[in-house]
Amino acid sequence: MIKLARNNSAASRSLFAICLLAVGLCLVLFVGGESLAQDAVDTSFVDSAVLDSVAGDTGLAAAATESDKSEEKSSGGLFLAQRWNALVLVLFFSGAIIFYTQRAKVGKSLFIRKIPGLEAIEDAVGRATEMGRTVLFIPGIQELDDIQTIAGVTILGRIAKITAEYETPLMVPVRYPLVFAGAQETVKQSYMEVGKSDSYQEDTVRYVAGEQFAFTAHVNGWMMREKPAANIYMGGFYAESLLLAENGFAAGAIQIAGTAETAQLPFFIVSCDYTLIGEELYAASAYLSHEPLLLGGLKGQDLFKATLIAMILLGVIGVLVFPETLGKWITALWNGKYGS
Amino acid sequence: MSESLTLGSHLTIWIEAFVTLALFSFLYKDNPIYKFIEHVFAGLSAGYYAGLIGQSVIYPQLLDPLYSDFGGNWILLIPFGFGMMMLTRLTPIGPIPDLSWMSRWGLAITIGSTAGIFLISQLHGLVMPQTLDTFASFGRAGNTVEFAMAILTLVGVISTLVYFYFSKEHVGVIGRVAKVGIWFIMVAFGAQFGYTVMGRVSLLIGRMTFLIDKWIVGSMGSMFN
Repeated sequence: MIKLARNNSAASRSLFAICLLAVGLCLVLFVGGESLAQDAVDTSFVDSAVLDSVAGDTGLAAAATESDKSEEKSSGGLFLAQRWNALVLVLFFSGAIIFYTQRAKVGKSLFIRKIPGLEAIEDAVGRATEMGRTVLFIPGIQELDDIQTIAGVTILGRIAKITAEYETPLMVPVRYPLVFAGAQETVKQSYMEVGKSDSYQEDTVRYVAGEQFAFTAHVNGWMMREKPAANIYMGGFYAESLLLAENGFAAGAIQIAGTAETAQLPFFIVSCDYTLIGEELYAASAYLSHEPLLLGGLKGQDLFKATLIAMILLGVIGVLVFPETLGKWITALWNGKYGS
Repeated sequence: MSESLTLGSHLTIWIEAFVTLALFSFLYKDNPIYKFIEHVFAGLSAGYYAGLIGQSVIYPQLLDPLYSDFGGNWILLIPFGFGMMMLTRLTPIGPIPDLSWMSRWGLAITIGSTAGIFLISQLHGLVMPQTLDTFASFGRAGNTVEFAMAILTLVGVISTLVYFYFSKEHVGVIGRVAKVGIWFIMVAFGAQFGYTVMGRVSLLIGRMTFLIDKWIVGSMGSMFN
């Protein structure tokens, strides 16, 4: 495993990650299995609370959740049988991703439509190169345990490759130590992959501050002093989104943003040149890299979305036309035991 | 209010007012006062968060459980080990060789577990209930308005899903449906924009209230009267 971790090829990295996951799963199952099962039962209120809020929002029968809680607590074991529908969906989703990944690996071409914001990234870096200025990349202000940050860091890998090829300075301010480590590792790897290890500078990725607005104050000040030519914001952002993007606009940078925070998207849309909306952020890494593994994931998600549309239409027909047969069956599929 | 202010309170209010105005000075242009406050703010927050993590994570969630009941909490040594591996990023130091590759283990665990947890939580917490409610609302609709709302929701959900479908070019029927989807998205963003701007204006009012009530009327008033 140590040799695998040292080796930088994509295949060995994947194998290494699978090994780690397998070890983790074994630990959970054979060492902490019983306590985990107990925790799953004892902490069932977490999921029930989420379902309660969803039920409140969506009008599902809230009364059903009380009886669910008591039944759930008495179920025990590693698996909660009433979540069978989640298992079916996860298996379907994972199967779709594996299927498309295998197709991509054997050389089948997978079509992805053009996403304008991503097409503009290379132009933005080119502009920075021509002007001899820096590219600023912010992978959001969330921790590494936020899926948007992971998407942001993945995109950073691709952008770092472009900046390395063009020998354009890159600046990546981060808010959390773990993101710092992840981003630094990613940028370093990208420089190595394009054979520009010598151009890599340790201070490309900088830890700025843990507090949200201290981070923003520093980045805004830096923007006005250094005048980066391109600002790329990809990840989870909150109230600082408009402060950063407005300031970047005032500094004269071309700006590309992407986030899945719906409350912040309007601010990016009005102040940036291009904005990746929600899922486009997650699609970006696959789109930019064209790696089979990522493309397969994206195509698998598309199949899942198409299935969702079909199921919704089937559900409408079931509820309106065949409420006692198709309606009940499809409601049970999406409901599990809740609200039934 | 002004009569009850102590010297310490005056000092606090004046520092707050100075910091507020120093940050507002950035609206004019970048300047040395802003730069000074920016560095103070960043430095303070870095130190504060280091202390906060020590007090809220390292001591109560690692050291205390291990010290009080090692046998029952030995499993905490595993995340502790991964945490220590992050420090190998500092190598090579003196006689210690370069072990920075070990830090990838902790990162791999974090990223892998995050992806797995999010898959289930998003599926179970959002995708499944929202999918269910999109078609179940037809069964619950008791009058024409509720039925019309159910249709509107159905059109919004499907057209938005089509917009985020990446495997087909947005032309023809798919293009037209995707255009409806982007209209739904933009209407939602417009509402969100107005709502958030109201929140920002409220923050500005809060700062202005502080400057006028506490600083000018409260502190300055008591000093010059």
